[in-house]
Order: sequence, then structure tokens, then C-alpha cells
Amino acid sequence: MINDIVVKVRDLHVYFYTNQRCNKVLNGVSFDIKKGKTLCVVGESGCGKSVTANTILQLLPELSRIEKGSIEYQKDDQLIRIDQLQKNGKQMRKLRGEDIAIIFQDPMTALNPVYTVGHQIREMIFEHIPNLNKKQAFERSVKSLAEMGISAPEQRDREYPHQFSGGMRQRAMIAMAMSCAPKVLIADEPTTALDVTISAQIFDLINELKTQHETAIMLITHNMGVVAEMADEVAVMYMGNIVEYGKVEDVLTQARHPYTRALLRSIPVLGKGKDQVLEPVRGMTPDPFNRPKGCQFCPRCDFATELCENKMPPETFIDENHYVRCFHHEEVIKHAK
Amino acid sequence: MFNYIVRKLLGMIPMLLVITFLIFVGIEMMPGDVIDFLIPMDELARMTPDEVNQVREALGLNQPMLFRYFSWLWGIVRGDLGYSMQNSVAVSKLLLDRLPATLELSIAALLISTFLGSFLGVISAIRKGKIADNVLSMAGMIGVAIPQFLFGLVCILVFGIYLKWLPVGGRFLPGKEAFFERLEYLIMPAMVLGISMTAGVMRYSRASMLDSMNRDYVKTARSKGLSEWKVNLFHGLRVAYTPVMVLIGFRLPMLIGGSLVIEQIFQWPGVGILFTDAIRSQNTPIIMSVGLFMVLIVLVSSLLVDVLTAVLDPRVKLS
Amino acid sequence: MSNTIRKTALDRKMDRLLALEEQGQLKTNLKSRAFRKILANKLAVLGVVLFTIIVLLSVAAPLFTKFSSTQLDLRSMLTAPNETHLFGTDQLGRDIWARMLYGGRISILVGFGSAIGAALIGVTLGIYVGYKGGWLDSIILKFSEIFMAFPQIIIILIVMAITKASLTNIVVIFILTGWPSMYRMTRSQILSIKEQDYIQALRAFGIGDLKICFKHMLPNAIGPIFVNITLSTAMFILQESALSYLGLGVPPEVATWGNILNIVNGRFDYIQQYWWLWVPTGAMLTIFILAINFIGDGLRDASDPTQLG
Repeated sequence: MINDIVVKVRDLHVYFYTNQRCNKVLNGVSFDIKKGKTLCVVGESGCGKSVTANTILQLLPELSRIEKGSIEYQKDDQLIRIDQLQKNGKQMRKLRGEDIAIIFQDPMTALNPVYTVGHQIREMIFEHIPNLNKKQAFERSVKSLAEMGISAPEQRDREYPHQFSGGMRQRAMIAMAMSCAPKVLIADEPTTALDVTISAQIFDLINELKTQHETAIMLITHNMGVVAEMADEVAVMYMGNIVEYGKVEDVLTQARHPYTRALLRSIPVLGKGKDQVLEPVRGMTPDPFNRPKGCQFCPRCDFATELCENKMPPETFIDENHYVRCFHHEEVIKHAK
Repeated sequence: MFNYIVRKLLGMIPMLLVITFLIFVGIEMMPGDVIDFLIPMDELARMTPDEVNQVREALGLNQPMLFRYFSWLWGIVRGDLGYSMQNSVAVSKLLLDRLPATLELSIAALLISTFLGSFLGVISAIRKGKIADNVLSMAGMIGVAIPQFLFGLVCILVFGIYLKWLPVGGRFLPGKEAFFERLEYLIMPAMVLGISMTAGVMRYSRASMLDSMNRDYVKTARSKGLSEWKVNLFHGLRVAYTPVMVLIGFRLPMLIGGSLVIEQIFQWPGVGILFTDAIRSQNTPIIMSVGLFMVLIVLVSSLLVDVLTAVLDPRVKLS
Repeated sequence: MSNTIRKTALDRKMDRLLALEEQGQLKTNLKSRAFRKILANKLAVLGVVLFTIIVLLSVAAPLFTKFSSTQLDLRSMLTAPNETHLFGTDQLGRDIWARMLYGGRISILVGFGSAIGAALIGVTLGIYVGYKGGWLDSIILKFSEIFMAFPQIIIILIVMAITKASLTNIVVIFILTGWPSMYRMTRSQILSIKEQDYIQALRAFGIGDLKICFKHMLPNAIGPIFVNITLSTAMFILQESALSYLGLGVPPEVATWGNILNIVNGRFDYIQQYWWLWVPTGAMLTIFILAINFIGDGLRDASDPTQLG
């Protein structure tokens, strides 16, 4: 259903201008975030996943801008072009938190150390629901903490972030993000800083949000295991492009991009025993200032031809929901069989 | 909180003992015989060695060094700082006479540098790379580079001699000692001392503010939909301010050192002039008392900084 | 479409960079990022230029003036600047320009020597004792606290009163009062470096303490140390000039920037009537300090990888 699409990103280009250079961080990224579904964006560090997430909320650093492409947000019946809003303008700010919320990688640094957790949640609540009184706001922040499984929420509400454990802080972050019931939750590697059992709990929590509140979720990760566990749809990113995009079952079982395949081969599969052959992805990630001319993955690819060297492969649709940026995807899938 | 302060104060005692003893030993090592400074030359020439010894005895100069140190220390505990070796005036009286002038100057300069410095620093950080920032940064650079005394000279020349807006020195005219009558005397020295400190505070608050503005929590605050001024003020500045307060606390010794120079230039009759005069004439009780006094100020201010940090930053526990 | 977003200066800057990048003109030629950043920092380059000029003028003083800094000429006292005396003469008929140049030698030497000396003591202690920790560390830390509790100028004055005012003494005192801040800065650096995995690994390999300290940790702390040395140099020169200006520093017969200015201390008539007694020297002093600060700031930006821009 087309109406399920909450955020629609098309051909997004974002360039960074730090250090007197121009770094083409995103080069034509297209994807949809759908109501009640989880989109996982996966890729190695530096591939542009976090930038994609931040771009949706226009939280980019000063020396950067959206060069091309569109970000559309479906607000009830109204279509909002986020890319055309002023960066910290009123309309953009209204979307932040109220419609689209984000949680960051490291809950240690993402909460302000000098305010109580409750205060930081209420800051969000007051910003978007201004006619609440103090007591109502307090009740609301306590409720959102309780919903995220934090015990003794009234007491916790008055505590400072440093009194929370890592997992608790991330819960508090999610409580804050969800306190105004946004339609979209962007989670930027929410468990990287946490240990395994805690991250499982956080993922359970995110799944609950998806099923109970029909929140559209964009989950950024570098972990293929998380993708298999969490995703409804996957976008595999490499050097500023989505190289493969589709339903999770299609991408994991019918991977058509050599990079996706390489990623899948490089992770161990639980239960397959200790004699699995794991292959790391061959070669090094290229220098972002010295990118390959054609397909970005070309220097590391087994299927590369002269065509790949000179031309960026377009988005080739396998079916309605599955696309791949590779000239030789037929060959890749044949080779795999 | 109260326990903490008491504990800190008690902890200062050994440090004070060490410091005062060091000062004392230092002064004992001063060249020359103090007696030469105590009695006018012509009188000394007329005196017999016995008479000289009597004077020594009377001033306690013949006792062993350790004894003299402890007797001085015991005196301090009783509020007796000894007597100036030149004119037998109680040091405590000399110090109390001079203290208001120095406090007036230092506090005025402290207020100027704190408010002006942090305000301009924050403006500069928020407008990073813009014209306002460049102008302020450049002014800050020059402010740090120009020697205080030179800045004072230029001000005296411009505002005192050519424009005749402000008096070139002193603290008041005899008979006109009310605060408002004194104010015009205070303005220039306080501004010179204050502005020369402002540059440092400004540069530091700019750096601290920029650092804070690059933190994740600022991004979180922005992601909540807060307006830019709320983000900068409640998140950026709120966290950036603690290190600035700490810096200002640590700068107090510099302020006092600076006031010493400024007092000389503007003939401001404060503790600084008392001290340099005492150094020139090796007036041990004064040197020691002023030294002690300065150290006390520094220690108390560092305690204040600790308490303030704890109040401002919930992560710091007073233990 | 309301696609009329106003182009800001920032946008124009980005457009320019983009155009250059498209043409492939932006190349990272210089290998060292730190060096490239210093070059990009125009003020730092200006600082280096000014610094070099003043140091050259001072070191090669005889090439630029035929007068000496001490030679009295009672027939031409307080003469205004002219062809023979570039910046006039002082109340004893000494040539100001010559005094500025020769004075620069001493002032720079005092500042730089003291900073290096303080750094040698402070950094060595900071690295080794900071790394080893234990009772020695706490004693030295306490000591540095005591030193820092004094307004520096007070200790200096007391010590100057005890010892005779001489050049070596002033440098020694500067070193004695300057090492604690160096020590504390290095120590805090070392404390964080010490916890890093590669240092733990070196220890596990059984590498000697001295080698770990000076071969592995020192290079990682060197950026802030250099910044501190430049800024301390500026601070010491300022302090020397203030002391000498008050007549409490270097003996009056030695020309330093502060001593030259000492002439006008308390003499409003001189300040007003004979500007050349203090304006050129004051300007040179200020410009030199400014140059050092420019360099220090450039070094700081260059050595700090988190500072982009």
C-alpha cells in the first residue's frame, strides 16, 4: 500500500565541505520508511548510514548541505518536502521529536550530564505540547519511562544520566524519543555501546514500538545478525550509495550485489559449527576524496569489468521492491548457485 | 556540603604551614642586615655596637630562626601579624588600611572580566567563522599579547592626559572619599586590569562553548525540536560554563599578580604597593604577612571553585 | 515550487569548493595534515614571519645598527628620531633602536630559555612520575599545588629579593615557577594515554618503563607540550617585561624590552613628550608576543585532530 510510506527519500545527494575539501558523502540514495515496518540500513563505518539518518532530520553539521534529491514526509494528508525546509526553522523544528524522533549511538554522551533525565524528557514534551502544566508533564515523562521498562520511574525521573547504567540510559533516550508519540523513529546504531544481552532487550523494545504503536522504524546498524533479526526491509550501503535494497528475505537469501554477498560471507552463522569458512571483504575501503570513477565497489569486486570501472551502475529493479546497483547481478546470483 | 567545606579548610592547614615556612626561610636568606633598614643611616653611625645589639634584642632578631617563625605564627593565630620594621606600625593595621583599595580594584576587575569575557566568548562561539567572531578573536589575541603595563600607559595617555576624562592615578582626593566621588579614580585601573583578564576568559569560554556545542547532547537537544537559542543556552552554555568558572578561579592568582602591577602604574594605594615597598626595604613582617594573605586568598578561592563546580555539575560529588 | 532559498556566504563557499573539486583541482599534496593545516591558517604563517623577522633583527643586531645598547652620549639626550638615530635616543643618549635590538636578544633568550627549562623539568617529571604514579607522584603533585597557590609574581619578587637581580637568576626563578603548570599539563595527558591499550600491550611485552615513557608516550603528548612551550615563552617575556618595567627585574644596565620601558615608569612627562621612548619598544614587544600566540594557536589547531574546519 502506497499510503504506508511515511518517509520517501529519492536520489539524495549530501556533500560535506570540511577541511577545504568536498566530500561527496551521499550520492543518490533512495528508500522508503513504512508505517509499522523496520528498515535496516547496513554497511561498514563511513559508508554514510549515519549521515542518511541525520539528513532526514536536517541535523547535519554546518559545513554540509543537501545538493540534490528529495525527502518527503507524509504527515496525515499533507506531503512535506523536508529537504526544502529551513535547517533550524520553525517547521523543521516542529517535525523533530513530534513526527520524527532519533536516538543516537552512545547514550553516555547523548544525554546532557547536568540535567535530570526527567527534565530532558519534559523539555521535549513542553516543546511540542506547550499547554501542559508541570504536574501533567511530570506524569507523562514518568509514564514514558515506565513504558520503556524502567523500574521505579518516579525516582528515576529525578536522577541524572550518570546515575543510570548504559542500557538504562538508552531506554531513557528511547523514552524521550517516544514521549511525543512520533510516527517515525530513527535509531542510529542504538546498541553499539551496549553489551549483548542489553542490546537484545533494546531491540525487543524497538520491536514492541513497531507492533504496538505502528511506528515506522529506521534502524542503522553494521551487524548483519541484527538485520536478520529486526528488519522488514534492508538497504545495504557502500560508499554513499545503496547498493542493494529490498525485503529482508530477498536480500538475505537472494543477494544480488557482490558486496552484500561478501558481507554475508564475512559473518559466522550461529549453529553452523566452528568450521565455517569466513571470508573478510577483500581489499580496503577507498579514500573518500579519491573515489573510483564508476562503481564504488569495483576495486574490491570479483565480477568487475571495464564497464564497472567507468560507469556507476543504475538502480536495477529485480521486482517491485528489490533493486540492486550492479551491472552483473545476474552473473552474481548464478555464480552463487 | 558543610562537612566538605570544613574538611577542606582543615586540609589547608598543613599546606599553609609548609608555605609560610618556605616564605620565612626565603626571607631569612635575604642579603644584608635588616638592622640597616630599621635605623636611619646617620643614627646608626652614631650608635655603639652595644646599642645596636639592644635594638636587635628588642626586635627579637637574635632568637634562633625556628623560634622566630613559631612566635610569628602564634602571633597570627592571635591576630597579631607583628610590626613593620621601619616604623613600628602594626602590620595588621597596615594591611587593613590597604586591603579595601586592593579588594575594590580586584573585585571590579574580576566582575568586568568574568561577565564581559564569558559573554563575548559565547557570542564568538555561536557566530563561529562570522565577522563578529573574527573581530572578537583578533581583539582577544591582541588583548592577551599586550603587556598590562603598556595597556595602562596607553590608557593613561589617551584618557588621562589627552582627553582628560579620568584622573591618571591615585584613589581619591583628600576629603572627597565617598564611593561616587572615588568612582572616576577606580574606572581606569579596574578597566585596564579587567580587560587584560577579559581576553583570556573570552578565549577560554569560546573554546569551551565550541567544545560543548560539538557534543552529542547538543545534537539530541536539536533533535527534540528546540530552537537554536534554547539549544545554545540551555545545553551548550550550561555545560560549557563549569570549566570557565574553574578557569576564573584558577586565574585569581594572576588577578592578584596583575593588580600588583596595575597598582604601581596608577599609584593605587593597595596591598601591592605595600608589598613592593616591603620587598625593596626587606621588611620581613610585611612580606610574610602579604605573602600569607595572598596564599589565603588563593586557597579560599580554590575552595569556592570546588564548591561552585559541585553546585553546577551534578557529576561532581563533594567527597 | 518555493525553491528560492537565499544563498548565504556559506553556500557560496560551498559552491566554490564544489566547483574546484569537480575540476579535480583540490589535491592533498602535502603529506602531513598538521603542516597543511598550519599553512591554511594564515595567522600562523603571519606569526612565523613576524617571529622570524624579530629574531633575525635581534640575533644579527650589529648588522642593523652601528650603535651599542649601552653607549652613553650625553650630548644627544632625548633626541627625536632622525637619520642617525632611527627611533631617537633616551635620557642618557643611548640609541633606542640599538637598545630594542640588543634588548630583544635578552628578552627572547629569557623567555625561550625559561620555557624550555620549565618544559624539561615539567615534562620529564610529568611523563615519568605520572606514568609510575605512587607516593612520588602525590608528593610532586602537592608541591606543584603549593607553587601554583602563589601568585607567580609574588614568588618571583620574594626570590628576586633574596638573590641578586641577575639574568641567570631570573631565568632560574622563571623555571622554578614555571615547571608546575607544565608538569600538570603533561601529567594529565599521560594519565589518559597510560590507560590506552597499546601502552598496556607494551607493558605486557615487558618493555622498560623509560622506553615506554619517552619513546611511546612522549610522542603522543608532544602536540600540547609544544603549544605550551610557545605560550609559556610569551608569558615569560611578558613577565620579565613587567618586572623590569617596575624596576624589579633584570639589572638596569642590561637592555631588555622591559628595562627600556622602565624609563617612563611614573614619568607622565616622558610618556607625553617623548613618545619614542616607549612606543616603538612597546609595539615590538606586543608584536612579538602576538606572533608567538599566532604560532601557538596554529600549532594547537594543527595538533588537535578533533578540530576540523
